[in-house]
Amino acid sequence: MLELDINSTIYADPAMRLPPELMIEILGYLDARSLSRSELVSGRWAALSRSQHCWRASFLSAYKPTINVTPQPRMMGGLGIGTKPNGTQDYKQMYKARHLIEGNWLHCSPRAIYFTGHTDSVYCCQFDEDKLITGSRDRTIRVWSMRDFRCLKVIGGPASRPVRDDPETRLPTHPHATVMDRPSLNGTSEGNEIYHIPEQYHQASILCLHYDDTHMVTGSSDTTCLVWDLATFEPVRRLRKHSAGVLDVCMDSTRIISCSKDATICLWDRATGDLLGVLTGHNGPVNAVQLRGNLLVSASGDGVAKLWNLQTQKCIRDFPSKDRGLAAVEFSADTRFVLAGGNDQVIYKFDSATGELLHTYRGHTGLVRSLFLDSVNGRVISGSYDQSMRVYSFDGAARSKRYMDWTTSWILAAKGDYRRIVATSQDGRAVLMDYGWAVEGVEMLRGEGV
Amino acid sequence: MSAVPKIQLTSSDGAVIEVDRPVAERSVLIKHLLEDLPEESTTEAIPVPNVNEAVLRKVLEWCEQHKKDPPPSNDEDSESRKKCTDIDEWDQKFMQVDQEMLFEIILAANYLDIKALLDVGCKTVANMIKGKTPEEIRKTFNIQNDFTPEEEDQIRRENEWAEDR
Repeated sequence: MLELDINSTIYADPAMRLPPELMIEILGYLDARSLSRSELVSGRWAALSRSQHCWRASFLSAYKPTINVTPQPRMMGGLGIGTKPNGTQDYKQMYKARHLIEGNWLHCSPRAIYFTGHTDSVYCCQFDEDKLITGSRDRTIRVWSMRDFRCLKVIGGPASRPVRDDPETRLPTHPHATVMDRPSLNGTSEGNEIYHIPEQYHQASILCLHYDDTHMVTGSSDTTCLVWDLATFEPVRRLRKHSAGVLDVCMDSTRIISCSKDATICLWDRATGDLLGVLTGHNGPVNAVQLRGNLLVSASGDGVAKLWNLQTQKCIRDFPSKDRGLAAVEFSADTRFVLAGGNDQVIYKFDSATGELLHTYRGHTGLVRSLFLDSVNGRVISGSYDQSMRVYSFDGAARSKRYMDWTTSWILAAKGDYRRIVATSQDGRAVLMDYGWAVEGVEMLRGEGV
Repeated sequence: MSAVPKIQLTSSDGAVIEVDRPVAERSVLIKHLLEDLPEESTTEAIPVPNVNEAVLRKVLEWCEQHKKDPPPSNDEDSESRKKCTDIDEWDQKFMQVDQEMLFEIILAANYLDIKALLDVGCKTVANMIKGKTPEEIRKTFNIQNDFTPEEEDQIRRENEWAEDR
């Protein structure tokens, strides 16, 4: 009896009882808080808990995304998990940097960097860790550095070359958060040097763009799409079929999809430029499309979002809005959810398999013009004609954050990654809201991931 | 219908345990050993010198329950492993043993190369640590605090960020 009692109350220190590699394996299952508390248990625990193996496992299980569809959709921005391991990473510092960045999202405290140069509404943008590309009503495409925020290239026809700005017309920036607002290079010798006139260009507004490692597709009010070689910013070919402005484009390794004010969606062979099909069914302008594997979602001014099977080129499901007019659509990385927003001033979250309305994100007081779903970080970023951006938690649990006074007019596009939002505005600027500004170790988070 | 082939294992304390071969083959160590043996010699008991009878029986109970599980993928990408709390219900019950037995199971799973059982064991210990203060962790495992107050302060300051929120 006595012996049993002793046996049932044996306590043993796993750090003594188990070999270090197993203890490190165990500690790697902990999150940052529990792992750093383990350091305080004893000297032996501290030595084990400080191991990069523990912090690496902990960091990656907290932040490494799981990939759901093939081909994998292109990530906006960066993943924020650094480069492939080369033995020099300090995963504890990286975890700390991510943690501080998350705190800045929580407390709505990004720093603002302004990109000035376009001379009219900036309709579209895409960015990665190195560059930002914007397209504008001024008929030019601009490439900006995401490292020093200079304008690197302006691409447009000879008639679209900007003249020197009137310094009196400089727009106000965010009163507290602005850390950089470079004057535009328009009309300066450097501005003329970076102006690139390609063999072909758009004859009207650049409404949409999408790029990957090698190519970019742009769509324009001139009813065409241009496919660009990203290394030279020279067009490879022009895609002609639409009879009105091209409002959105997307692509994967084999296909290009474009949608238009003419109420159709065109499916193109990326390698040849051949038209593979025209998807009809919408009764109004098709404002937005997004591709995930063989599934496509589209949103239209007719008030309906549609899910399409690209193999059969048939519509599988309709997602109706309450009122009319959808301007933006997003498809979750795992294809389970469709988000759509527009005239109703709300964002709908639909179950893509059943069509059921699961949640309504509220708060905007104007048309929801742009939507971005960051599936990895669980954030929905919206831009509206009420001049605000909102950041919602994808699961709808937390209250949304509202961002006012970051631009002086309508938000036309807003996209984000682990540490930033890039928004473009009718006021001719793009603004980078950087939640990682001056965070120690944030540079270690750059890179293509593990 | 042919009978399931059986093999025998000898524990460190000399007990001979008969078990269905597919069950024992959840252990990569035993599986490889059996593959290397000529067919006729599999009737001899295989010694498992590092594991006593009680632990071996416990481990085989787990193998029996999980004999139909798909074989472990050789995915190097073990970072994308499930979060700690994801232990299936049967395994959770199975792991409700005293700490000594828990560590013995982990050591046996490591020695016998039963990855899935090792993971469950490690996750169980991780869950015993998770969410606790350093003092609570010391209490759980009966550990002496060997830090000076200065050392403790220093670590606390370094790790302050992780306590925020």
